[in-house]
Amino acid sequence: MLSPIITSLQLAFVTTLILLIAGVPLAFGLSRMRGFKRALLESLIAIPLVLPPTVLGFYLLLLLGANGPFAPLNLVFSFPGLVIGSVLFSLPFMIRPVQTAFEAIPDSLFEAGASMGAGSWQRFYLLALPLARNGIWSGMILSFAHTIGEFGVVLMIGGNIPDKTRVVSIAIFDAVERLDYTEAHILSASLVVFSFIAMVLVSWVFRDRKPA
Amino acid sequence: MKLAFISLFVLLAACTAPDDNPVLIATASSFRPALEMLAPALNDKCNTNIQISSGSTGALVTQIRQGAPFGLLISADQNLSKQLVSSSAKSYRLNAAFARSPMAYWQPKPLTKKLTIAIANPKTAPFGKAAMQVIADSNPDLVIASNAGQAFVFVHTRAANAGYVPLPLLIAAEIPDTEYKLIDKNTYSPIFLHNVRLRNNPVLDCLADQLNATQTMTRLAEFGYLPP
Repeated sequence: MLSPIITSLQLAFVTTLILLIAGVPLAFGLSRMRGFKRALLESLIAIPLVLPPTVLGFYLLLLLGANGPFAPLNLVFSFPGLVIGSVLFSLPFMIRPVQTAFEAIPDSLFEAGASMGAGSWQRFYLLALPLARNGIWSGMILSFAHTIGEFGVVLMIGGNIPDKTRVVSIAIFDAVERLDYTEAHILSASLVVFSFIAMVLVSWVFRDRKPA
Repeated sequence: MKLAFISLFVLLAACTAPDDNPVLIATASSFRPALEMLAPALNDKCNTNIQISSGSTGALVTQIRQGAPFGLLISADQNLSKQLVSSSAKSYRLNAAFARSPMAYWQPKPLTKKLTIAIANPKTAPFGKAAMQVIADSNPDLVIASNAGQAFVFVHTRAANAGYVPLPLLIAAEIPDTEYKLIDKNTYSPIFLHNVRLRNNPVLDCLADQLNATQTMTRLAEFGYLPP
């Protein structure tokens, strides 16, 4: 019963880490962008919010599967394949709060930074990042929690491989089919508690920390 | 906080699954309880560590076609297995059937409301196809499960008040025989269990041979399986 929990946690950590590294600069770029290009990019990133996970899973399966263009990488039914699916599926959960936090920073602060000789990298690193920390924490917690609860994408591209791709949500499904309701109860209750804690953390991040 | 986060990440990354010569077996969901019962003996005889993934035969075949890392497929659909073997360039080996699985109609309680019958998906699961053959022209309200195991769960949880399910699942779950009746085996296409070896490996050959061994059939009879 421990193996799916470890797999889920590993997946959530790796996904959150990748989203932190790639998502924060992307969110910053989006927050400074204007016009049609921004609307297009925002919509593209937000698609997983409204798309059934099976649709994303299906296309990833075709892309990464035995007959797809990325077949030689052997990503399907593997942990790295799950990471790719999770990063794409959880992307809006990182981008949205971080972008909102960046947008809340007044332009005048960046202008002041620039007038004091700060380059664009310094303005990002020394001004934007510290001021958007609440949004970044919120994005990380939401991405982590969303990845833990993922089912459709994981089932499509990960299958149900013990110790490799059997995450908690799949293990619950599997336990129910085996009529092992005890295991299903324990894992489900763990997810309920975990989700509640994640939501409390998000609220706490915004309540206890003074707005930037 | 940051240090705790990084430490936890490193700790989790270091948690690797035990790898004591495991073999991944994909099995039709109807055979899972029986395979779990056989697993200790198979592990001893073939010096391996079986790991089981179950689903409808159709779903498992799709996963194998997409590159799922299974070593052995225990299938309940011979046509699908033949298609898998003939359409692949890999050296798959289709072995002879080792058991025949009976089907039962399970209705745990007398009807007090409209009849809804759970069946496995006829497009992907042989028990679904068999159920449709039995139902024939009658037109009951059907609840379609993804596989025979899920159809069983639908009835077990009373989401449906009846279902066509594999007899071995009823026996494995110790359902009283007053709650179900065996379906005449001449009214649906026979469901033969057989294995397909998906990789060239002596351990898989051993497992395939053991599944076809006489003593295995003797044990499977406890679950209601018949000789092929």
